[in-house]
Amino acid sequence: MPVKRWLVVATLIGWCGGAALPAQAAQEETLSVATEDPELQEQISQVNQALEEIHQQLVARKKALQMVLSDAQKARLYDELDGLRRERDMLERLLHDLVDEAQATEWTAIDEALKRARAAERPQERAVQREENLRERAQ
Amino acid sequence: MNGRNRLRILLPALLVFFLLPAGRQSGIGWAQEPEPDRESAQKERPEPSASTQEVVAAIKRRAQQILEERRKARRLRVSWDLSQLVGYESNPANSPDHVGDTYLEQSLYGVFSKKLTPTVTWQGIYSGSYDNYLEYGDGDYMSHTLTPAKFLWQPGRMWRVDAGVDLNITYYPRSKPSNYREVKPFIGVRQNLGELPRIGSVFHSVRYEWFVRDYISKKARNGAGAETLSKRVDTRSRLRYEMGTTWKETLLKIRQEWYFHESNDERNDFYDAQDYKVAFSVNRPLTKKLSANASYSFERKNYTHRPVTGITGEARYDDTQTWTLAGAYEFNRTWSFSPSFSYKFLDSNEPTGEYVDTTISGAVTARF
Repeated sequence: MPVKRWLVVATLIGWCGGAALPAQAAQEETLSVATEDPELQEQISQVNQALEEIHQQLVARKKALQMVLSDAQKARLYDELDGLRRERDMLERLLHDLVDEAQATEWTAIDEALKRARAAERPQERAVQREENLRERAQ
Repeated sequence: MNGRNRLRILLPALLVFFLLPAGRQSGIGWAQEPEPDRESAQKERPEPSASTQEVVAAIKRRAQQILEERRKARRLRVSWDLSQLVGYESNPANSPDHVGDTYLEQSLYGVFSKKLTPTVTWQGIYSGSYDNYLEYGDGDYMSHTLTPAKFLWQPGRMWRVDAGVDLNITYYPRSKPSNYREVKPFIGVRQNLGELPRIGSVFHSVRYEWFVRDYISKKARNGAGAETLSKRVDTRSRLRYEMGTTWKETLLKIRQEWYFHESNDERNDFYDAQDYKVAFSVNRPLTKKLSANASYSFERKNYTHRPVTGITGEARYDDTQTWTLAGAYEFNRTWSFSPSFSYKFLDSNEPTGEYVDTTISGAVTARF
């Protein structure tokens, strides 16, 4: 097979793998946010870890389900799975609230510079408006 | 190296190249920050001997407590800027006569601000000013602008969205027919593009506004110049595109504006115009208390049909160039002083409309 064809095949394999992996990883996806607020950052990190832990327990129980034969054991495992899923959903909601809160404090250098410039521009805009008002009145 | 050997090296390299990015944590632009310090966070976690449920419950309680405390801390914020300005203008009438005059301007700018959610803020703004000249009394006017609702949405570090409506009334004590009311809705979107090598933090923004200006007593004219029963009503659509960068604390901006102004006054479509403006500005803090601002702008205003003296078949156009130099010095958290100098030159195909205007002013502002 010519080299070019191999490259195409390798690219396709890579693309397919690249496309498939994020979906796989999404189950364990954690949210992070750039914030200078240490309290929120720490809390986000803890909630992320708790989510990871719950995910591991979910995986462990699903594996156990495949091995267990007794109905009573299965029922107990299903109950635990339900409980863990509820915990996961609640933690995810909490995590999003925390991330929203952290994002609210995301003040950038551009925001600061524009705020400073805005204070200088406001009198200039008033001067432009004043001139337009004067010309308007005169016409 | 033969083809087969080359393949042996190339293929794994390609596979590694294409597979690696897929394993990274997903995120967009700004959100891709270094992983939090898991080791130190681990130390802070509740008792390792506690069961998973207890650990999770403790984390939840703490997170809810933090969120609750922060939500309680959100209060209505109010700030006022009260300014007194004294200035001298070389040509307040914008006429070729160049009769200068001193003017005073009192202005009040108030902002009420409240966070509605972590990313949405409501603002109510009042801005009012009174300008009066010592001798050129025809130029006196009072303007009040109320923005009852302006919403700012800040979903992360990259986007800034704001929208609202301005209500304005402008009153001329000596020229009452020129009094008008104005309603102006607006929307703006800014994107922070992030840090670029050698350029700094880059942003660009687009803003659209539209106003309807309703003259309280002035009548619109028909094509023959006679007053109609309708009051004069003007509308304007303005689009603004701005881009800039913060380079070593210096903010550099270029702004382009287009607007279309239309009026129901039909006499030569006197007020109808299309306008394009480009402005460059630089703003930089020189010390902790002192900052400087410089700008240059060029504006072309093409009137749709306004006739030019002695020329038929050509509508009037005005080219305005403006240079401005301004500073701001903060004495303390309350008091500041802002000197300003501006030079304006209007060039037109209508010779009687050309003028030069220089303004020098100083303003003292109290913030409380």
